[in-house]
Amino acid sequence: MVTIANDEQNIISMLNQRDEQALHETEQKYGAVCRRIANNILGDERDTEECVNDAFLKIWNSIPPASPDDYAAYLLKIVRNNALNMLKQRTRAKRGAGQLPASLDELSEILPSSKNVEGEVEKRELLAAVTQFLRGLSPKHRDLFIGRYWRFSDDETLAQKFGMTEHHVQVTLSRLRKKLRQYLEKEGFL
Amino acid sequence: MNSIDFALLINELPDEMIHPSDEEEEHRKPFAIRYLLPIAACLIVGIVCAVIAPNLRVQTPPTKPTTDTTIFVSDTTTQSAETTTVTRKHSGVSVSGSISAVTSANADDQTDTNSATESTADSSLSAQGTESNVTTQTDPSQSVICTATTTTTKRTSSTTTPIKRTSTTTTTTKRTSTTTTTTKRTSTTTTTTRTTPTTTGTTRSDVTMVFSSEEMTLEVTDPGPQPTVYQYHVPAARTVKTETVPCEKTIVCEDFQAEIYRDGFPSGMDFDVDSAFDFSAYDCMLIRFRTSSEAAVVSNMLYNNYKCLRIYIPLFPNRQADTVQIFTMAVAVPKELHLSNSIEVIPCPSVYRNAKELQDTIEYYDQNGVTFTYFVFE
Repeated sequence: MVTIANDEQNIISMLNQRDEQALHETEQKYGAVCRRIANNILGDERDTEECVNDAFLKIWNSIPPASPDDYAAYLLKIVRNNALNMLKQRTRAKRGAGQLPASLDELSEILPSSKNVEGEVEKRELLAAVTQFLRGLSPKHRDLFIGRYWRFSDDETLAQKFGMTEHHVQVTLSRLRKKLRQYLEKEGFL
Repeated sequence: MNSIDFALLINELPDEMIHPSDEEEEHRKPFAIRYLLPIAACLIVGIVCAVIAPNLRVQTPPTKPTTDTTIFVSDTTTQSAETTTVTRKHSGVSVSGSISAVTSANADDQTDTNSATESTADSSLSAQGTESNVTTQTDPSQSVICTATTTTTKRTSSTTTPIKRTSTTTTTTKRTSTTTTTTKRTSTTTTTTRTTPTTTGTTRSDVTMVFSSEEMTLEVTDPGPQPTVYQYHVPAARTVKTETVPCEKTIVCEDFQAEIYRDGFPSGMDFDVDSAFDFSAYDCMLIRFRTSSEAAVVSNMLYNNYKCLRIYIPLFPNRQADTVQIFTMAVAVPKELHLSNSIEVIPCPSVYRNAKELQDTIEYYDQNGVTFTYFVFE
């Protein structure tokens, strides 16, 4: 972690100095993770590459003035946001006929109603509720949930990562969705 | 909200939750931990069960002879006869004794009174409880300490008085017999210490009555060597004494009842203060009597070098009429001695106005051969 933090600080320093080597370092260090997440969402290599390159460009343009505490998380959020927006555009262009990742289908079980989450304030409250829910989980379950619904990893990848069987991963995720639904119901979002 | 919007929303989760540093293999346990450790644990458990456990049998300590005896005696308000188990052994070993507790029914202040009796013969000394846990000792030189604890209760329909009986064994050659009784109002403790010497070819029979009641201290000392043959009999001077000592014999007779139990079974013999009973027909017997007096003392007395069993009944007529006490004593008479035993009941003066008067009475008895050294009612 210390090395990673130092590397991140070096990258941020190079970005602040407008050193293009920062992008090479970012590509070398986080390119694979970024592409994996983008590919999990988009399912297309060309779109994934475009998404990742666009994320690097946003990094270059946003830092400075931005100075993220966690450079990797900042980068992954940009990649993920780009991928989801691209998926959203693609789905809209195909009028809902597009193929969504399985993880996004699973999220439909816990989607709050639109009338309860209309404004930005309500979205913030919903985000806070989800965050609170995740903080109440065990680290393993929390990482499993993040891996599935934030990085959109498939069951096989999660099973290998967590040392579980795919069936166990599915069952655990099903229980976590059920618990999140109950939690959101309790909080008034469903 | 669709799933993409929700996914975009949770894009803003805290950085620590989504940091890629834990991306790779964080939660995967190493192969050694996942498989080898459980296997090793199972092997260890198996080894323990198969090899070590059979060698870890608990070593049971040898059972020591029971020296503590707890006897529970239940009394009822009907003044029913006590059930007392008295056993004996022949062949030179006399075993007898009893513990009982009786509670009167009509008393304003009911008092549980317990008595413990030990009997020895020749080179044996033994003690026995009424129900269970009997300790028998055959060592020629033994000392038995009997402790009887009584409690005072208010009027209740039924009481149960536990009596803890402790016997210890010591070796001694001193030929003395000392009986000490110390009682208090709310808790009475009777302690009897008997020492039986090692005597070969000598027949000796002791009957020790340890009796406890309220506020009473009695100490009787057996001075020393005794004749080889003892008999229980009515002293010749008894009539004189009962006549010379003012007493309310009639009252005593009316309130006095005695039952003699043989081997634990009541025989229903009435007791008369003017008569003497021949105990030779009984192995062991339990005498139970009821009196309106406040206290009574039963002890073996040495009278003209003869063992006499006497019951002293000091009367207090000012007491309420329904104040009744029932005293139970056990008399152990070794059958093999073929004694012509008698029991003497000597009513004491009706009222002791003070301790000096009582002491005078005691001295009077002393002068007539009753050898007790200290006898005080408070």
